Amino acid sequence: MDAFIKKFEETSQLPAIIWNDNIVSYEDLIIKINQAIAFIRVNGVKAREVVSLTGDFTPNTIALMFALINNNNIIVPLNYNIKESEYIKFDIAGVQKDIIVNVKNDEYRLEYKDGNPRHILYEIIIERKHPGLVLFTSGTSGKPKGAVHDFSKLLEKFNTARKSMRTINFLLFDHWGGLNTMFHTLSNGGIVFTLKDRQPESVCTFIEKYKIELLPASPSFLNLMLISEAYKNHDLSSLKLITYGTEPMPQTTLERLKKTFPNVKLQQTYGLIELGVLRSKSKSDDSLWVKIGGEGFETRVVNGLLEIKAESAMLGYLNAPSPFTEDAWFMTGDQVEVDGEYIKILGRKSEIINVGGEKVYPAEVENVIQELDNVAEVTVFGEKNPIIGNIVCAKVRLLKEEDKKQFISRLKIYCRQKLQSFKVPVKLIIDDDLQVGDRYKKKRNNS
Amino acid sequence: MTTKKEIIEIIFKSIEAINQQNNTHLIKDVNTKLFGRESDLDSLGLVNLITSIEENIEELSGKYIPIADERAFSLESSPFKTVETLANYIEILLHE
Repeated sequence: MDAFIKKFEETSQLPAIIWNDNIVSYEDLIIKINQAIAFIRVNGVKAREVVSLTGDFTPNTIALMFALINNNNIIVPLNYNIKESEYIKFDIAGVQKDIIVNVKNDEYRLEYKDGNPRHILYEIIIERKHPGLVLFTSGTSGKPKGAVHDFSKLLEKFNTARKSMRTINFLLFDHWGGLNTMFHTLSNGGIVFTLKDRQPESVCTFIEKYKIELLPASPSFLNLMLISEAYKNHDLSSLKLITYGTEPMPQTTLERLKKTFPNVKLQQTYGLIELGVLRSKSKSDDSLWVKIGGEGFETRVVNGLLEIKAESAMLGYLNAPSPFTEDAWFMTGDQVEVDGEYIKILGRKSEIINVGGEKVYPAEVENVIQELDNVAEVTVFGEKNPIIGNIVCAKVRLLKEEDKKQFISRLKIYCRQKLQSFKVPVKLIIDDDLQVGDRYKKKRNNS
Repeated sequence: MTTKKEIIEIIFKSIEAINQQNNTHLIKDVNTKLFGRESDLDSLGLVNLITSIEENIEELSGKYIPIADERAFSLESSPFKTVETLANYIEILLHE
């Protein structure tokens, strides 16, 4: 924590955050952190207490985050637009106090909660006199899983100075991807560029206005940006690097991206809420083969599934069995192919559709369907079937209207040429709704 | 009310679609074997045929009727033997 403040002092006159088109300098940020420290003291927030921070990348949310780290709290970052179905997170984490930031005017207040903070994993952190961090994975079964981190371990890597590009804080506040970008930027004297909304048009406007160099995004968002053609109305020549992760990238989207932005480097990232972000290197701009690892991470593949040993790994889940092997390797559940040093991520094991004993990766089928004319988006999922266990289903959004029967026939014939027959979708749903959720990831499970 | 003749027409329509999409050569005849040793369809083909029939029925009657459920497989005499047995079974389902 002191290391951060020291760095902020060195760059005090430089801009730290662009929020709502306002500039907050590092000096301003230090003032806001001190105000936040005073606020939590006045409100009786004790060290070791479990405190949720509900906000976004606003100046005061960021300042409060540093204040809570400084106070050795167990911090639960939540998005300001948290839905009722997510309130269960307060219980899972045992939240005692909730600090809520109004993302319109950046004012904040504190609410008391009656969560039970007793948990064996919290004891470990308290014993170490470190701050803690609780992040949630959406989980495939529907119920969120709370991952407990020793926050100090995650922050260690930011002691090493690295180059900071002008980066959009695209990924969300309650996710390590978003926090990682923020800490990286601030520890290297960069500017945290915060977005008001994540529509392709707004993002492109923002990139042009602030001469953004790095766009970290999800494949679903990048696909939307391509089909919206929003990039055509803006000068995006400042862009040097687009990174993508969080879900499998369709080869077709990647190729279209390369064609649309020939001078931009395309880089796959690999990070998990349970482990942090690994260093990665794509084989080439249009390749899905990637080398992952870096300092503090080791990888191995067991039965086709990726396992990772990480110094910054979480201590465990609050409400789920340990995902670690006996020798402390984290079982990612990601099915991968291996070629020397490179791996290719095929998809989550839990998303594999088992058709009469044959495995189908949704991403592979989506990739083929995406090649068809008039397809905007596609999500492939499984449905139980009494004859062959499961069938492959696809939900497709079309770019322009087309006769349904004709489209289905066209799709099936094309898929049959490209895929083994058990991979060809049996059921097709044509739907006008967008297929990405708030996180700009495909909503595969509630299809 | 959907008559048996209409049901058979629906099945023929689906057979036509399946033949086109799957490269099979099922004949549009009430005695055509749908599943079993003498049929041109494998289990996947049968699943595709049934799904297509379900969709066509829904289009015509506005009702979604699952044809291949556990009950269909627990019957002593399989409804999936021929076009005729399937039409009989669908007729029962539609009149329930």
